[in-house]
Amino acid sequence: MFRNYIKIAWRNLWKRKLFTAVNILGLTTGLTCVAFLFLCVQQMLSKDRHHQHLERLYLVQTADAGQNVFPLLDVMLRDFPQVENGTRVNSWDAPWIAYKNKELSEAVTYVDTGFFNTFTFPLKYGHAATALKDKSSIVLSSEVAAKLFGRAPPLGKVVSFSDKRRFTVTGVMQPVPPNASLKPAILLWNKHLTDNPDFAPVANWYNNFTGTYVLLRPGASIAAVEQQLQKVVAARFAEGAKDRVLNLLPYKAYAEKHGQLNFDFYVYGLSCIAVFILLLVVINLVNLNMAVSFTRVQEVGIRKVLGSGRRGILAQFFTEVGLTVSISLLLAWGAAFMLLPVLNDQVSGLELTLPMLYSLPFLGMWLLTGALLTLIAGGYPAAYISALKLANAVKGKLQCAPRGMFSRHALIVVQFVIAVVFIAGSLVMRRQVQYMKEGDLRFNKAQVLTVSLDLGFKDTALARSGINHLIAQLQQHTAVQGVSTSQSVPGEFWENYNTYIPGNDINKEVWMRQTYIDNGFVPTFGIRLLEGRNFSPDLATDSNAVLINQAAMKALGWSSIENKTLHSKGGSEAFPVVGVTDDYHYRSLAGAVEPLIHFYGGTSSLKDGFHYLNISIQPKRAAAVVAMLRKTFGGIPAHRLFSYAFADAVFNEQYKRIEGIITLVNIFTTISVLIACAGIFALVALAAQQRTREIGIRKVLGASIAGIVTLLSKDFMKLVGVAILLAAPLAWWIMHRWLQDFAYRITISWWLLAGAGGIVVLIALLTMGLQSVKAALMNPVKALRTE
Amino acid sequence: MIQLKHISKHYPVGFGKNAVLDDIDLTIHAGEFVSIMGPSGSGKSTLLHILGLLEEPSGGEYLFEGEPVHKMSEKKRTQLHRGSIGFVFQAYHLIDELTVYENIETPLLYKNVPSSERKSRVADVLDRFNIVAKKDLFPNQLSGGQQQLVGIARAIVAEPRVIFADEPTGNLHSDQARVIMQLFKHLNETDKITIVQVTHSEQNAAFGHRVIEIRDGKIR
Repeated sequence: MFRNYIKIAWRNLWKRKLFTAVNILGLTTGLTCVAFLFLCVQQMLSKDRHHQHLERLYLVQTADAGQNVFPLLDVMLRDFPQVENGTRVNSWDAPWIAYKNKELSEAVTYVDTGFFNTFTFPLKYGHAATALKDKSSIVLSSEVAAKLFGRAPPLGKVVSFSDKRRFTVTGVMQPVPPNASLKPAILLWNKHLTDNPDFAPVANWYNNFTGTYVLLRPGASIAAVEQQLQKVVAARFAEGAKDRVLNLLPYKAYAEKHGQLNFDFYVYGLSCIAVFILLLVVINLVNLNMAVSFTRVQEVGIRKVLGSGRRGILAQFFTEVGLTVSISLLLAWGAAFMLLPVLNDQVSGLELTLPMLYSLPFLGMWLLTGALLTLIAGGYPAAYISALKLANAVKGKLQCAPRGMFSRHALIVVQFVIAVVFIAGSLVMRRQVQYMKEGDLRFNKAQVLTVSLDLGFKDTALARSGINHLIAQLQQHTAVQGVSTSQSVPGEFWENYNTYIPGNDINKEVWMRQTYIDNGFVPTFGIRLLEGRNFSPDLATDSNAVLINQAAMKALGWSSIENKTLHSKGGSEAFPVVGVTDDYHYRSLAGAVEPLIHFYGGTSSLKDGFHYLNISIQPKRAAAVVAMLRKTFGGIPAHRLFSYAFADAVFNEQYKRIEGIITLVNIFTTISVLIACAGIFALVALAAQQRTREIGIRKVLGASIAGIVTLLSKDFMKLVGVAILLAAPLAWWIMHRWLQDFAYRITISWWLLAGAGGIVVLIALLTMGLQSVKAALMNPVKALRTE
Repeated sequence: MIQLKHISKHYPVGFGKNAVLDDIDLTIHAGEFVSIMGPSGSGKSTLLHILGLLEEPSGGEYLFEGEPVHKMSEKKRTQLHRGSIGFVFQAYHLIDELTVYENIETPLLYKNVPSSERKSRVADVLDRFNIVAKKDLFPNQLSGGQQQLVGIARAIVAEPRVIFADEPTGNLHSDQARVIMQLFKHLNETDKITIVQVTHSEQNAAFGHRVIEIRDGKIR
């Protein structure tokens, strides 16, 4: 019997090739999206689950920040009865590591001996208990080991660092899941840091920079540990840090709180989009099946007369839908398999892997989705049609179905509402990015060339003399208007903040971003000074002077900077404020300009911490200057290649992420429009088929082609109109909410929404036009004869 | 075999009702060949639909082989369609998606006849009706008379005790009609199948034993 169902289902699908193709195409596209969305969500939810003691693993936070003071862990391990083990995770440097003629640069993760007992990173080679026992040991990730040693056994090999330190490999980790929050490349013992004379003064009870992770004993009370932490704060923390509140964050919530990707967006946002797309797909499937089933009333009637029970009819319908869904599931799985690498390229930080596609949870949800789709899409028409009155059904008569028609209409409207909202969203997002890119940044973005100085020079002395000579040459060059070296350039400012207190009002505290510049920075970038003066190399007193921006001035509540000083919270040195800059945009226009303090780092030259060389030039004469730069940098051996960019390009890098999101939204927009159109395309085709006779008669009676096209598409266009009316306020509201995240934003003008509506109308007209014109052009004699 | 007592059928029209059948009493015995005749709109098709369990009467009693049909569940009716009743339609009503062979096989599938028996019974019927060569064709590849042959073949393959035929020759020309009617007569005489047909034609009615005249919803 079942074979018979399949056979007939197959023939039915084949007979209605157009519908089947539209159905399968729509389903496949939708399901491919759903597959990816599910993978992303699964990726997020399975993050960090590879740690064995995850339930007892905690990060010691300072309020909401993930860092802590360095000495804390020692105290916790010694004095806290509830703490079983723990480790600090620090990054300090990213040296070049070499073995024979192979070298590569990776960040070193400095950890304590408890690392392997706290986290779960199984070793492929070596023993966890002894791997980090002394200062000459080094543990590598499997990727680093493979790059350095190829297939040779890594244990006991001696690698050297660019700073001449040498280590013996004592362990190689097994590959870490790609979505792990912590993916160390090189592990060294923390003792290296504590023995480092540069590090020791920083590792006090004030500076917050260490990741402190602890493994609590089973059944430990978090409240008790937190209480004890507060006692440590009171007893040991430095002045100015005694008001800190420490707490424990379960490590399983780490990705949610401190991960690179926006957790909520990926888990809830993507789930929502997946449900939306599934909704679109189901609507199509229901609509098409409903429409097709109207033409099969008679068949159902005959089958019942021949002795088929209701169950037999239902089984027949479900088999047909099930077959369509199964084919689409297979195709979509294949598409996902092929597109996965492309998606990984598009969205950085995602790192989906192919094995995820045949993992049990994925396949489970895949089958569940298929079953659900079949149930909904097959059930609705089947239930309707199998309940038909027999005598009418046999004659092919349909009881009037106003309810069915209404829901069909409602479903089309929902589809187009979604399409319009997506299109409007995509338009608004694009406008917003364009607005931010074209906005006045209040500095000279087009004429400043920035060159990276963070190249890992092999011979620092040689580099210093070469580059300082170059700077002197540039300062004399006729095409060059200004030269500067700086810690950061707009768009690349570090997340480096501190609290400052004005000398005249010690009760006021202002949270400021800080940066180091030279005396060339302000003129080179063409930043306006609103009050005071720029740093001057001629004044010895400027060595501790600062420039603040207007936002800082406002936050301090000053009307003038005359005789004003600032000092950092907990610090005693007073910094005289010598000038106020305009609020130039040192970060993307998504955020407001925050209070900023500039420290003076001396005249333009190559020095530690100054990563950029900035040159203001006439763009027409840039080629000569670039040639000069190339020549100089070519003569200085370095680990990285010479690179340069104009300041606006550097600045616009910040919009990469949002542009990535726009790309995704565009993809979903296209898909939603495609699916919606596929739906009405097939429905119009079906209407034309059902009304062949009517069209024939009308043509014989003198109807024009335009008249027939109108006849067929009028009703659908009405629905599209209703959808636009419903979608416009919805789209406005959603995008209005989205724009609130931007400090500088566009207003949503009516024509953006009208444009979205217009696009949809146009696409719908084109879709339906094709079918209805075909129907209208048909020879009426043929239509009438077939009846 | 079939007993109708005071059967009536009416449809609601506006605030009133439109009576199609009015107080019909009718008995049909096993092995009879009965023709129902009457002008258009007289209610003969409705009567046939009620007899064939396609429609329910508004009032009265219907006994099929002594069992009250009006009290039967949907399931029981399906059982009757599977086992006891065969249908032949004016417009043949073959399933377009199925071949001749499969159309004939369908009732056996619903009756859960095992595969091997199915094959032999379909083959028998094909042979008997001389349509073996057509078994892999689809309905739209056949002439009207051939389609009706298949329709009858499908109706008898499950070995029903009664066949209801709704103007079985209405769409055929007279030569073809004669062939079909002779077939009915043969089925009635040799296979002892009870046949109830609705027809317009006196010639067709002449093949049967008895004519039931119906006019304005009443038997004359």
